[in-house]
Amino acid sequence: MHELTVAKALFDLALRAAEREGAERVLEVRVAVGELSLVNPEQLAFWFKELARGTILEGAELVVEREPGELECPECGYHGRVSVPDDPAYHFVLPTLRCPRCGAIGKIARGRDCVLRSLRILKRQEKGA
Amino acid sequence: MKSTSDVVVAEEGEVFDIELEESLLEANRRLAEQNRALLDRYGVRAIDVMGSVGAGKTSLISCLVERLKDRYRVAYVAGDLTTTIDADAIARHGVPVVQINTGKECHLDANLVAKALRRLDLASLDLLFIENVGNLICPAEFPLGAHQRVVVVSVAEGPYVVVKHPYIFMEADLAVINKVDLAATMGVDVGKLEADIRAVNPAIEVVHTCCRTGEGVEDVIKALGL
Repeated sequence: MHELTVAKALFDLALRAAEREGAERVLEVRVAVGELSLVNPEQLAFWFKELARGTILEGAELVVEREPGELECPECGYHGRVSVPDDPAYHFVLPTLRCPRCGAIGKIARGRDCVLRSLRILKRQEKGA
Repeated sequence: MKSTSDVVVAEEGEVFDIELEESLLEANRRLAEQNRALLDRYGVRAIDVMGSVGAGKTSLISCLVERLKDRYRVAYVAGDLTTTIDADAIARHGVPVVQINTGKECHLDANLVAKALRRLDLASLDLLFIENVGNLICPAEFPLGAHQRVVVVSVAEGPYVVVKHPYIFMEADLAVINKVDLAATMGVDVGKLEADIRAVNPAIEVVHTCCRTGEGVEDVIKALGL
């Protein structure tokens, strides 16, 4: 359910930026959702569409990129993708946060956030002087 | 350039790409830092208590308030969807209570806590318990500005509660395993739960309690450094 909160933040940021740029309409909103964030892209898109209704964001295409989850290992220095262990409990929820090389607890280096990347806007050109 | 717009026929130069790179979680983080600064200015220590519905968050806080209210000036902020049941339970101890009804939201966020802080006389407080909405997923994503974060889990939530919700334990300083008196009945190995918690966060403190009888509550107080 916290997708509504995140979608509201997305909507507010996008609307503010679009208005600042003098957009007449927003054609595309591009976001990056981290693989290790707890945000579900499908629910995010649903709420965003609901919030956009009746605004210049209505009808904008929401493009969701997945930002890969990366770990940094304080023990062996590994820096890279997180592996998913062969444990059914993990497969339906979340990947583990252990270093795939040495098994130590890793620190999340990437993929925890949710970022508004860019907007594609339509601007009506001022005619005349 | 072709546009799908039926309002305006897009001409060259009418479609613009705007680069932003703005975090959607940043606004909450910033407000959380402001809450922390405000609490620090008044010397109030805040503890965010998270956990599932029915894990025993209110029971734990009630036990803590009862034992600490003579040593500290305590207040309580309750996050709940619509009721005041929790707020009423703590108000019985005679401490200031602020209820935040989140409506349909599944977690507290820093903005709601900021509003609650405005309704408290911070200058006359030492210790603040903030009870999050019953949920093991969403609160992990929304820091409130508290100094310590506590997760309460109960053995009644079954043996997989930790492996299924690792994030909330990563974000916490203390895990309280409650209702340990029911472990045999539930067929849950408390030692295994504790090992699961430590596997996610080796630095975390783990305490076993039965808040109904008060067992282990003194250990929680010690673990919190109170």
